[in-house]
Amino acid sequence: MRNYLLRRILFFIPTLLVIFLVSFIILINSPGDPVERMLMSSSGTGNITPPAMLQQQRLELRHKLGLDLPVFYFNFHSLTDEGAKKFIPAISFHSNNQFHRWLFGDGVNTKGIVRGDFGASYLTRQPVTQLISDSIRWSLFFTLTSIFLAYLISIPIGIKAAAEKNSRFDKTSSTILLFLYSLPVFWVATLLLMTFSNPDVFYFFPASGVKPVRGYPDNSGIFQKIYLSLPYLILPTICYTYSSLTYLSRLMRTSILEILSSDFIRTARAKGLPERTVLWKHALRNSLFPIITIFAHVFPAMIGGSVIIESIFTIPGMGSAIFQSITNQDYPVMIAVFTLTGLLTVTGYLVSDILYAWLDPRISFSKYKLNR
Amino acid sequence: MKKVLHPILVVLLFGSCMNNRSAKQMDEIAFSASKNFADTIAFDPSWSKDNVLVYHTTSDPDNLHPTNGNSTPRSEINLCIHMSLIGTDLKNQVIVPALVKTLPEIDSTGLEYTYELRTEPKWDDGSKLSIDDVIFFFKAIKCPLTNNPSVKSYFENLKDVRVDDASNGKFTLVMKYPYIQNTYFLSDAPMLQRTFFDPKNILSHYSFADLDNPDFKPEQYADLVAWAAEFNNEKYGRDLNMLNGIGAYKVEKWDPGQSITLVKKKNHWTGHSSRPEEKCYPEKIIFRVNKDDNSAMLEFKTQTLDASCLLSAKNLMTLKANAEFNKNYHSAFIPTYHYTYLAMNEKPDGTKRKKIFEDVRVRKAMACLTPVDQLIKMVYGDYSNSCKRMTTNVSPLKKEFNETLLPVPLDIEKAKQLLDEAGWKDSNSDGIRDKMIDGQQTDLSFDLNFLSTNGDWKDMATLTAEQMMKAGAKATPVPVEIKVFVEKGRTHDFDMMMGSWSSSCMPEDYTQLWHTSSWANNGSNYSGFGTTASDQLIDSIKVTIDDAKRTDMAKRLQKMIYDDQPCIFIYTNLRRVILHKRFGNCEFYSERPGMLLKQYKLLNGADATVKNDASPH
Repeated sequence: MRNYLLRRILFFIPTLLVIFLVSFIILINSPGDPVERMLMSSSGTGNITPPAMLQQQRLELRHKLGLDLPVFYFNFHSLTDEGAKKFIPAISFHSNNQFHRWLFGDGVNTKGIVRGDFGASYLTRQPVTQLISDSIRWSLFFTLTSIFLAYLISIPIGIKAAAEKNSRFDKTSSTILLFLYSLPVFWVATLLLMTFSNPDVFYFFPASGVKPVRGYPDNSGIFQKIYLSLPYLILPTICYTYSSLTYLSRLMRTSILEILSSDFIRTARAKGLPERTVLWKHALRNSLFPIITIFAHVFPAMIGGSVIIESIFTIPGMGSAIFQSITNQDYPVMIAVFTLTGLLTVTGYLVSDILYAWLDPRISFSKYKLNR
Repeated sequence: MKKVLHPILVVLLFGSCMNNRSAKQMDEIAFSASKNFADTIAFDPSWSKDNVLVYHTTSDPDNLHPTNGNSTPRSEINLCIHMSLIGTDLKNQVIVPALVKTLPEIDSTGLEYTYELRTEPKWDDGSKLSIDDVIFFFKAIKCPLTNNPSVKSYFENLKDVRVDDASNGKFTLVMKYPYIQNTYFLSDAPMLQRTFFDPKNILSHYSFADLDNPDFKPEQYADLVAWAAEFNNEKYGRDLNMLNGIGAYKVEKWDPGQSITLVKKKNHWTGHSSRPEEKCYPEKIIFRVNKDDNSAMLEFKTQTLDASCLLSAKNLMTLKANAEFNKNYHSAFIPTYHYTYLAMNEKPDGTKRKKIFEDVRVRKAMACLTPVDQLIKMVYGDYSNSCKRMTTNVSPLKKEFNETLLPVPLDIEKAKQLLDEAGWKDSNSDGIRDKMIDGQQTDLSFDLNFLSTNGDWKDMATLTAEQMMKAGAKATPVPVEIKVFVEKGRTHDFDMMMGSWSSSCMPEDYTQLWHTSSWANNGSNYSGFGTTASDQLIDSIKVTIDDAKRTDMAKRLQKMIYDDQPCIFIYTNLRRVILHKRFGNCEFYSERPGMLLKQYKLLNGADATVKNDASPH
């Protein structure tokens, strides 16, 4: 187990390097210019400003951000100048380029990504780690809550639908869930707002934000904060949750049905075990694998947030932060998000593998080694 | 169960459409730079008596550093927590003295501007505003190591600050060359306290000449590098204890992505000021973030928000049709100095972009085909009478506006005639005109770039394209993201583009948009307008201090642009302003930010309180 974990963790390093490289290439080639964006006003499509020195400002800013450096700097040459070795090609990498600066910093202001320093946001001048830590809390909260609720609701529905295949419950639940699945989230979110936060219809929930306009009272405890925030959280939580209900419950239903047709279930039934025991003890555990596979995607989703839901309900989460960084070409934030997403995706798969082994003792890490 | 489910579904599906549209009424306002409303006489018992004004904003400021930032919310908040040497009288659209006694005395060369500081302004630690602060402020902005690229260009023309009489606070700004904005540039420049930002007085070791010298290498001076690193530190833009300003408000709380709360300082020096514009009434001003327009509309219905300049025209029109909203809020569409335009590429390369708009007759034909009135009606509906057509590059609100130039009417026949004259005919009867250009048969078909950010642009581009097709000109609306939009404009990689420019009441330097150098250097002269004569005129305008002479020159430039038709000027954008009727002194302005939050006075002031609970009112 330890060797397996170590091997997987070591596998992170080349994976992350590839993520750095690919994300860097994508960003650097995206249209637009972060310097122009930094000099631009946020209103209209442009702001009329005195042109004096603007060109010099651009050059200085580009230099300060290292955007005047070559993107990559390496050259091919002979290994030596003399003898047979001069026919052996060699490649030299030089440090004075943008990619190197991203990785290892500029030696003055940033230490580089490999040292865990993502630099400062072009837009807010905040350290990227602080910006992410400020935003990630709400994304984490909504993602984890919605996953918990989705699993809590969809697994029993999936099991019941499988156990009562083609019953009225199966057909009704399928229809309702597929109907929900087909609804776009921006439409549902707006509909919920216009219906349940609207004094002209029903005014049950506040329309925006995650806390009262004036924030929490001083010295308020955690329970008071939860109590005050609860009305703000219900509609976004519904939006985060509803679409995954269908997918998970259908997955669970299919998986259970597949297991129920297995030989070992037939054996269990032949032995006279009650149907309840067959279903909950033997079938359920073995049908959880697809659900666990899905769970691997939860980790990257935790920092991704949802741009649409966060915008509609004004949730200060990662979705909004990422969207803002993309529209403003805030490279440091985008690189950090790409990197974290990559890291969490790999972590998610690792956790899934461990859960597989926990659920099914037949899967052992030594087999992994043998198979390799 | 069915009986219960059915009405619920109906409500769910159609609830959002329920509003009272019968109360729609026309907004009869004159086309002026401000609009005021009489105070409400009867204070509705349901209204909050809290002396807290909740203002709608769509995003957090990038930061609240006094000089290092560039976002609209930041400017609006800084207006409350800082003050500048010069202020803007939003009603009369003129600059007025703020931290100085009077507007400057200008010498005959137009290069020296003498000011005298007021004696009343005090910092929060009780110390008086001094010339030391003024000099530090200018040096801090001009220092090459400070992170304020968007501000520096405004101060490039400042050569030196000469102290004439330190004890009486008299100083002179020496400029490098005469320039029309030599006074105006101070109107959005928050003053800095030297002892707070530079306790060791490091900047005093460096002269303005040093900071301006292109050979000066600031990186070689360790003390300057250390000071700049400290000054640029994000704590001065985010840490509440470090947000130090001379204005009447300070930041009490910042919930990122949710709200920023400003609280009025106790015993602030402006409390004794005789200047009415310095009176501050709300005890607290909360900048409440709401990113979604529908959600913001609902927050007005629930009276959670008190004021806004950012609600969409469509939603404000919906609200204005609601009697309850009109009972609770003043609202209006106010013309601004921003305008919407259609730019045509006069100087395409002929390879990437076809040479369609080289001929002025084609550009004029496009102007005849643009349904400006319909576009205005589409965006502003019943309130389109508040909106004026633009005929030139200058807002009709400005005295420089050349009123002799008339709007180009929608005239398809004239457009056809102009296109015929220019040699564009439908030779292959496919409904699209064509012409031989550089030996190749070229269709009169082109891209019409518009911003993909909201639906209005799309609708406007589609309607325009439909009209143009009537004369055999095929415009293909192409939605583009703002970065791409600007880049394509700067690199002249477009045929036609629909955008908007934001401007102000300040005298305008036309170099950025209309000088040929701004085309050659990939600047903001997207169309490629310009001749030697227009360049000379633009160069003269920006150094002509005399208002009358400059106005005459600006009118001549407008005529040149009008005759060349590089752009079709569509309309002056309208600001959508809302204020709760529980506040008095209600006045809305054309000039940014459109509202002066601190001037709004709670009407039952005697009973006004600030609640300490967290419940939304």
